[in-house]
Amino acid sequence: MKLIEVKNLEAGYNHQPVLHGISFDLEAEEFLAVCGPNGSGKSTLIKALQRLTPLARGTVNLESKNIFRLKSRQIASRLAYVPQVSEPVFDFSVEETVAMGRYVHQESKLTGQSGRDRFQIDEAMKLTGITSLRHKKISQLSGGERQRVLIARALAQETPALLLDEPSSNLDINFQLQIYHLLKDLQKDKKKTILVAEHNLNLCIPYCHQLIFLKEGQIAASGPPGEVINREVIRRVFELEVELRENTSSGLPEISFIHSAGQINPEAKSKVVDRS
Amino acid sequence: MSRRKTTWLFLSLLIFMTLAGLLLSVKLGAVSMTWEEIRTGIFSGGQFKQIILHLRLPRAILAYLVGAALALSGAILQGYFRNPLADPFVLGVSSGASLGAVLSLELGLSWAVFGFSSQSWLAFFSSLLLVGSVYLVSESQRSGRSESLLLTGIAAGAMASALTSFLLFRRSDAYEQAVFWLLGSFSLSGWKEVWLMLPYFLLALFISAYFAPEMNLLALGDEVAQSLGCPVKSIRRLYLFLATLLASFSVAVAGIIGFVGLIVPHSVRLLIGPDHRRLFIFSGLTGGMMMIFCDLLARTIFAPSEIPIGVITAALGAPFFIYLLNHHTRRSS
Repeated sequence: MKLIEVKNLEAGYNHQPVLHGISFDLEAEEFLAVCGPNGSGKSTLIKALQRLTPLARGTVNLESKNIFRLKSRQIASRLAYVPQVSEPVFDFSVEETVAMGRYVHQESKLTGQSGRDRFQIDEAMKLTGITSLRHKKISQLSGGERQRVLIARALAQETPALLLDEPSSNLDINFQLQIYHLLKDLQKDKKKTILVAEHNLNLCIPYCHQLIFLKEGQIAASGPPGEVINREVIRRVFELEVELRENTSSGLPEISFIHSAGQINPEAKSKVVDRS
Repeated sequence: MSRRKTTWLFLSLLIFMTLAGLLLSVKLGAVSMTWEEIRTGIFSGGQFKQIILHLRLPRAILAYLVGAALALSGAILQGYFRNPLADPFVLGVSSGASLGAVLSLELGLSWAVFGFSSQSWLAFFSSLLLVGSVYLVSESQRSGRSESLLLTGIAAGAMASALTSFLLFRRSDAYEQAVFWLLGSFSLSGWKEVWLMLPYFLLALFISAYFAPEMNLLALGDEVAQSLGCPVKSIRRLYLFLATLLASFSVAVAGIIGFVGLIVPHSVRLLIGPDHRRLFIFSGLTGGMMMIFCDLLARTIFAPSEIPIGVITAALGAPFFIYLLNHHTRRSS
């Protein structure tokens, strides 16, 4: 079933379109990664799908409904947004932050949190492993912990889909993997649809079903990672010569950087696969 | 101490201090009274009845309302701009009001409507007019960013201040009267000011507390707030309207009293956290309590003459604020 259907989308800021002619479908329970160079429009795409950009034209259907006709509340009950981690202006506690995800489900302000609200908040903190941090302030957390809090808030929102903007940025490799493991578990066990904007190709390839490459606001290539990752696409999108090899654990292609004019390290143990 | 315990302790302290402040405001002044004289004055119409019921009590209550309104307005605008340095006058309310008041002096207007002087009316409307124009100009830029509203407000405020200074420069005899507006005072206050402020203040407090969960979301940034389901545009408009009217009413009845709207919400946030459901109410209660004591000092230190209250709020508020910031920074590191 199509969760999101995008046709000929143009979106951006201040009369300045960043994205042009974007068309793709996001199936329910799918894991889609949007990759591309800096400034190619990854974050703008994530925002445009939730109608968060000032400029947006074209068609975006969410569960077959035109998002330009939906209220922000209706969009928020279907799509949860995980923005990039930033310094908090006001220092809310972890629990207060996660509880804000429940806003969309609160019908009356006078009744306070319902039993279901409390259950979902606890569940979201448990799934992301932050229950022990619940009373801490956001400013006291590490980057990885803050990222988990933002994912927990999105989970508390109880939506079928999560849209994440560079969830691995500023995290060490251990945290990067932890976040992607968590996202994969959510997709597999909780049947969530996941869309990530990601700049680290090698990180998202083993986890995603589909990959979209953006370049200068347009889709340059798309498909399952095993098909779409090849030297020609990487050259076209990133203007970079790379070698590809097969990841020994996933069997999927992995990018290997060439550090000295066309040379790759002959000691490299992994098998080099040239798909171009 | 847990946040919950701090909140309850803080609330008890606020209620106690406010009642103490009200009693002291009635007791102390150019004419000091004993408790017995106050009791007979209120209940059996003794010689001090006039002073208590028509001068000191309405003045203390008005000081409370203005302090509470300024602090609430500051708390709203700090959340609105996601900036703990915002205050009720950031969009030009104060500059607009002083321009109106000085213009009324310059034009030699001396009429009164509903008991309020031409200065009050001009101050009120010119502050609303200035903020209204600031809002329309920043909307026309269509940037959708609150920074453009803030910057337009600062620029328009500077223009209005320049005009005010020019008018005062031309008419040095108006300066003394203008000081009332520039530094604030409750010396002319009575029940009619109280009845003007009270209904609007209570309504604004209720509405802002009711929509506080939305303000919590706005404090995360517009995009995140909208993605969580908050109707960002209408909530922003509502809060801007509430905060501007709170500040304009305060300025119309008491002139420009600086610092309260900046430090009270900020200090309260340090004590009980940033949740606007508590912050709005506690900022109001604290601002009111603080203003009662500041006004008490303003009229008793050099009694029978009065110091402008803006001098007291800044002189007392600033050191306390620096202490609180230092204490907080040390504790969190």
